[in-house]
Amino acid sequence: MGFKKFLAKRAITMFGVLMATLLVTIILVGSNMDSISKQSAALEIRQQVTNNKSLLSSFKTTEQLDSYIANQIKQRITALGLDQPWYSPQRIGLSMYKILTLDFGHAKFLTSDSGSSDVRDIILEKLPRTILLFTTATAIVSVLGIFLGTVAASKVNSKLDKITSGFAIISSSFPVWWIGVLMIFVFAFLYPIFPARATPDLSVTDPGYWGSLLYHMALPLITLVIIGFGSWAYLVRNFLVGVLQEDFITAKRAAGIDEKTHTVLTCTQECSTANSYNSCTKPIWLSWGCNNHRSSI
Amino acid sequence: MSFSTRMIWKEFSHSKIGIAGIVILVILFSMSAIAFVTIPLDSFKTWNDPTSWLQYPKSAQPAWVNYFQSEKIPEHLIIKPASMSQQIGSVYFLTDSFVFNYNYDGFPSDFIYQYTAQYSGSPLLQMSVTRPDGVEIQIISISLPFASSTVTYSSMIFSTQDVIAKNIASAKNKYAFSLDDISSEKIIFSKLDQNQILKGQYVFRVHLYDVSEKPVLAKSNLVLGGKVYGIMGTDELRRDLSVGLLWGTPLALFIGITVSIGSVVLGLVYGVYAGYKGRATDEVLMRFNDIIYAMPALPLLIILAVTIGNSIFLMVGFLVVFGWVGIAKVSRSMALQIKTLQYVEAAKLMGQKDYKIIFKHILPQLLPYAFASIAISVPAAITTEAGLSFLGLGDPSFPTWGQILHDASSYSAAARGMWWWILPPGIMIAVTGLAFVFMGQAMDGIINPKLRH
Repeated sequence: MGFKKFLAKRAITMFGVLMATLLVTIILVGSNMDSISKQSAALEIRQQVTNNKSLLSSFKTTEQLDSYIANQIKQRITALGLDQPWYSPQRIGLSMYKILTLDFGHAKFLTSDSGSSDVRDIILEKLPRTILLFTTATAIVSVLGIFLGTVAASKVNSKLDKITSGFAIISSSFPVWWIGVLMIFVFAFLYPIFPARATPDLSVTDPGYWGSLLYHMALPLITLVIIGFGSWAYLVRNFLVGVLQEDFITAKRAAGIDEKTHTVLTCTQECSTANSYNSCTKPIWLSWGCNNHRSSI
Repeated sequence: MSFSTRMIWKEFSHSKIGIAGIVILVILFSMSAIAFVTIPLDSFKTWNDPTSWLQYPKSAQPAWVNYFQSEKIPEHLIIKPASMSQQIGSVYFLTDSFVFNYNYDGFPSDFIYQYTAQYSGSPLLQMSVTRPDGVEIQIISISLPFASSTVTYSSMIFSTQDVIAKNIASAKNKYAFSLDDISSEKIIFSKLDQNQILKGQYVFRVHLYDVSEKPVLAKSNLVLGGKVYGIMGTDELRRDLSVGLLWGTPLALFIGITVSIGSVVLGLVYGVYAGYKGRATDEVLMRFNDIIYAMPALPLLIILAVTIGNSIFLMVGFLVVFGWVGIAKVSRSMALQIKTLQYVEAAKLMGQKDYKIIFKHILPQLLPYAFASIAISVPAAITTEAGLSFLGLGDPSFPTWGQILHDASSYSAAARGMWWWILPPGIMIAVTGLAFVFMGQAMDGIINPKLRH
């Protein structure tokens, strides 16, 4: 399978999954969201009417006012398309379109650093930071994990192998967020080496911005690496131990070829295919790896 | 790949790591038993009710920190009385004595006497203290409100009351320093020559005198305010953390074990059925599996907890929904191998029904794998539940370790150095996870002999 074909297939599957997820989400929150948006529409109309003094004085009785408001609310609900049930195809289609274009409305409590309460702005502001942090962490973890795993597999049952395996088991038992809290406690408050916030408080144009950014992301990065590399090393080690016993390796070994070079190549190919994480069929450690990978927070 | 139970157990008992896992698990189960016996579930359910924790100190460190310090921090003491009653003529006497050793390098922050009395008439309540140096100080003397028939009356006496300060001032000629502007507890617990803590045995006595009827003190507690308390300390809301940690054990075990058994059984049956049936059934079932597999579990769990409910039983169900998919994939591929074996084909030719073949011939082959998977998927279930609770989505009527951590983070315990609030819950989560990972690891070694070399 060519790489392009693989990418295309992957993209299509991921898009399908995205759609399915959105659909499930909309089904789950649909009826709740429906009543919330109806209520907020009604509230908005009431406020508009009560703020408009000249309009308010034109009514003679409260019944008139009430019927006017009820009428206005009805019109607004029809205009917003809320008169149809939330599970009607148009409503679901509209909701999905809105989510895809990141049109989430406004947040009540949160604002972005620039002061916007638009949910899209808030998300787009945090997104680059998340990508930067997790890409860096994953890169470091995978390099470290492949290296350590290879060394451990080539010296099975050595001290290093045992330490790596033990560390993998122990580190995967701790919740990542708890280690995070602990690291902040120790390295930001007990020994104030790193800052307790994850983003610099300088503006992007400031010359010291990038240095400050690195300094601020150091503690979360260290935490993610410490938690992550053990499982990676263990995964790679188990792959390699399996591969090293395959017949073709024995044959190569007999022919005098360095076993490490070859297996590392095979294994890196296998590991780095994103799919290998999902299509784990052999060692059950892998299936655990998948579970854990999916549910770790 | 066939295993007998006895052979697996024999190999398992030789594995150090497996035995370690079992030992930890036994300890956790006995902790659960202790929790059930010593702390009734009903009282644990008042965990989030601030009124039930009033007599506990706020943010107190564990009491054992004093072992590591030369300067002993005053411990928060909740003292129960020794009761004695007498009748002299027509007067009924009731005396509650509170005896304790005070050997800390600091004054108590305050003292509170809580009582519930049953009486009729208008009894007199007197409180006095006998100090280690033999000096006796009258603290308070009040008459309880008059009642013509028997009543139950609850009240408290606080060390900050003005009456107490006035009563103590009458003993001022015993002290070599001025008692002005010094609070009552600092006078009562002070040396006579200078205002320093006097260590030794104190006896607080509460006398109740009544002429009409024998009075009863249904509840009578002396609380001495301190900064350390119990084995695990207390949190910002005065809750005794040892109670929360102890009760968290059965809850975590329940969540972990139920979720893992549920998802493994579901995944196993689903996967084996798909694999055995093959063709279109297999295709449809596996594509559905793929969809669930690719769904982001955490965001959906959050949405489910918010929209449907956050009861602990619902949470278990949600976790099963996202937990079975990986196991279904593996057991399908195993079933694909097993169904080509001759004895399965033979059974099929003999006209056995599909479900019989699945349950009699294929599933038993997968049991070792199933047990290992159960053990291995427990930690993920526990950490996921803890994570959801940490985000504030847990069941408030069954507080788990994750919720203790959530409270810790919302009162910024890390910034305030309250390590006793952050460390123990996380360590408990990890230790519980480790017990199962150890056992799973040992079983993994038996099922996948390749990994042992």
